[in-house]
Amino acid sequence: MDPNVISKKELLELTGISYGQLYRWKRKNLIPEDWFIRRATFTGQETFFPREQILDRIDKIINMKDGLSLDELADMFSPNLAGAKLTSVELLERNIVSKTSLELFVRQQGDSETYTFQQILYAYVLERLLVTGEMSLDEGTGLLQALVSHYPKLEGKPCELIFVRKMGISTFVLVSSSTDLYFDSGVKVVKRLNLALCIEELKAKIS
Amino acid sequence: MQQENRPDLIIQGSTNTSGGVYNLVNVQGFGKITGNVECNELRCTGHVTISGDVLSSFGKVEGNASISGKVEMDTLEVYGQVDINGDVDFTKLRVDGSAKVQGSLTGEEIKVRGFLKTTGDCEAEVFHGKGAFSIGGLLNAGRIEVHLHGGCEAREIGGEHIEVRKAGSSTLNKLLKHIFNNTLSVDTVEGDEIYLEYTRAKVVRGNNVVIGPGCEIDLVEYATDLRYDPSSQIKEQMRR
Repeated sequence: MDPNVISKKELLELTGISYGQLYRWKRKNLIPEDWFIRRATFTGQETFFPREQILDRIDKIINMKDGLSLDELADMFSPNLAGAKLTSVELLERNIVSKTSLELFVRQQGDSETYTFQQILYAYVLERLLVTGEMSLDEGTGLLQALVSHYPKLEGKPCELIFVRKMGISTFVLVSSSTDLYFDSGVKVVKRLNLALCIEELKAKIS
Repeated sequence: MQQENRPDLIIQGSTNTSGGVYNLVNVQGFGKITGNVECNELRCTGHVTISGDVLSSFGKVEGNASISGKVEMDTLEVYGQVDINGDVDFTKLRVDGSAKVQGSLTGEEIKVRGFLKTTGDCEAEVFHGKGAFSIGGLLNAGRIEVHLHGGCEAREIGGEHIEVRKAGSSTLNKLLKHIFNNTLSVDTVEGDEIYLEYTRAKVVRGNNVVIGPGCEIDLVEYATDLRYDPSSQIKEQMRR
C-alpha cells in the first residue's frame, strides 16, 4: 500500500472523527475535492486521502473549530486570496515580515500606504526564505520578480515554489499542484514551499 | 448591478431574443434566449431554451425549460420539466416535476417529489426525497430523508443522519408497487445515524446502523450498534 495515502477508515480511527463530520467538512469546502482519491480495492471502491495533508488539515479544523465558524475556516483554507489590506507598520508589528525583508520588498515593488494580500504574500514568502538563511538578499530580488510576474497566473490554484541552485546560480520555479520534478545531479533543491500552506498561515496571522 | 432600469422580458407567442439583465423574465409561449440571463425572477409556463448561464433570485418552471449553462438561484421550483447542462447553485430547490442536471447540485435544501437526476454530486444541508432520484456521484447532506416512491439510485450517500423508508401503504402505492420497483440502490452509504429500508447496497458504514426490512447489503461496518430486520440479507458484518 502506498504510504503517502491514508484510507478513509484509517483516517477516522486515527482522528476520532465521524463520517458525518467528514462529510460536513467536505460540504463546507474545508477539505478540497481533489484530496478524495478513489481507488478500487478488493472490497470495491475505497476513498483515500493524501496522508500528511489530510491529517494536518483535520488537526487544524479540530483545534480551531471552537473559535471560528466553519465558514470562516473555509475562507482560511481556500487558496483564494483574502481581501485584507495592511500597512507596513502593521506588517512589522504582527511579525509577518522583518525590517530587512520589507526594505527589500519596498525597494523592488515601491512603497505604498497599504499592501494587498497578494503583496503581503510575496513579502511573506521572501521573509520565510531569508529568515532561514537559505536565500541571500540578492536572490530575493529574483524571487520577487518570479512571484510578481507569474504568481497571478496560478492564483486560486494550489501551487508550489521551488528554489534550486546549481553551481551558485539560483533559480525559482513556480509549479501548479504537486508535480514530480527531477533535476540533474548538479542541482541542489534548496527549498520547496507550498504556497497554499503559506496563504493559510498568513491568513491565520492576519485575522 | 442596478436594481432600477431593469426591464421585464415577457414572451408570448414564439420569440427569439438575446439574454441580458432583466427584472422579470416570463415565458408563456415559446422562447429562445441566446446568451446569459440575469434576472430577479424567472417564470416559465411555456417552453424556453436558454443558451447561456442563468442567474436569478427566484425561478419557477411550470412548463419546459432547458438551459445550456450553469444556474445560480436562491429558490428554484420545478413543477414542469427542466434540463440543465451545467452545475446548479441554489439555496432552496424543489422538484415536483422533473429535473435533469448534467453537473452537480450545491445548496441548502432540496425537496424532491418528482424526479431528480444529476450526473455529478449533490450537496445540501437537508435532502428530502419523496419521489425518485438518480445521482451519478455523491449525495452528501446533513440530513437525508428518503421515502421511496420510485426507483432511487446514487453512487454514494454520505452524511450525518440518513433515513430511507418505504412510502406509506396507500391503495395507490400497493397497485403501483407491482409496476415500479421501489428500492434504493447505492454502492456505499456512510453516516453517523443510518436507518435503511428496501435498500440494495454494497457497503454500509456508520455508528448506529439500523437495517429495516427488504434490504440486501454485502457488508455492514458499525461502531456502536447494529440492529437488523430478519427479513433483510446482510452478507457480512463487522464492528470497528
